[in-house]
Amino acid sequence: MTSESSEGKKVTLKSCDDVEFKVEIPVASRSILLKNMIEDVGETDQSIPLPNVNEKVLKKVLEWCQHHVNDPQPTNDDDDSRRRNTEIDDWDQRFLNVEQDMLFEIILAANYLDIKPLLDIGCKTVANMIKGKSPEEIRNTFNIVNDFTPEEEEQIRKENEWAEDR
Amino acid sequence: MSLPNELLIGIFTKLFYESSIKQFLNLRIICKRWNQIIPIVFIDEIKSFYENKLKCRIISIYNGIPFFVQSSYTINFSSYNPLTQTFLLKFNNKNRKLPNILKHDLLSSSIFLYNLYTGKLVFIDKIIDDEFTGINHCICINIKNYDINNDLKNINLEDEKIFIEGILVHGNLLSKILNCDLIIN
Repeated sequence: MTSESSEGKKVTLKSCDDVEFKVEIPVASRSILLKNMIEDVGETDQSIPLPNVNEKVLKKVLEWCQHHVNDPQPTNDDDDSRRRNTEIDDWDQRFLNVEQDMLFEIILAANYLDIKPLLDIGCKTVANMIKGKSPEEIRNTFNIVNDFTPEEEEQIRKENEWAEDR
Repeated sequence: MSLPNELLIGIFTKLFYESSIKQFLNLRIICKRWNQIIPIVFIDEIKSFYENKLKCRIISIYNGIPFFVQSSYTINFSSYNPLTQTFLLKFNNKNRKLPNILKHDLLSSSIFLYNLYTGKLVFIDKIIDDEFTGINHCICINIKNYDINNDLKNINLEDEKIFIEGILVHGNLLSKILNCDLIIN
């Protein structure tokens, strides 16, 4: 099975479930991992295996890469401001409006493929899902089991008493 | 949550800048895993945010009258212990030494970080020796807030006390930590 995303010089990516994607090199190069591999290997007919990403997630990630193909590559200088910034543009918000499992898989894939801007908006999206919620709501949202005893929970509340909201 | 710790740290870092300190630290009660990670993010962000930006002036208060003792020092956050509610602050002056007056006085009396504008106090627990050089350059502060007008009445001002006057910072984070207003330079 092969799916082509666009014209021009292409590279073939192979998902962990053996689905191949022919992708324009600039699109694939949004991933620093792939960019480095392509530069190291040069032009080749062989597909690049991506053992940590399945077809569904890879398709989604490539959709993001295609949309952002003309964005400037992030620099190390951007790291500090980006990690503090929590704004997400409209297209990215719609793009990440997916099931929670898919959102986490996109984040994991962005981390593995070294696509910092995608990783960043993924983390922002999860942060926004946490923001403003009560502990119980957060646990429900992410299916987290409260493994504290009531005494331990009370102890942490006491420890946090100094930090008053203003 | 099925994400590895390194990614949770990335998520919490964003939340740190979007939440009040209380909201952020309250995420510790979600589960034991979060309880381990939140304090790490908290101190890392504070350390990087305030790197060489925190300045304090030490004053001695004798019989309720403040006297300036030293000029300003730069201090940096070193660590945060949520269990004891203490921050470790490191003096970052030329010799990396704690001001002598502070070192001397801690032996005989209590020391607080003190904001003159709001009268909020933060208790300094102890001075910590550098284990290699033996030089004192850290203070451990307890983050319980005191009210100068009420709590200080219970402190014997006949004894000489050392206070650190105000805290000059960029941004507004420390005001939340110390629950006090800022003196911006």
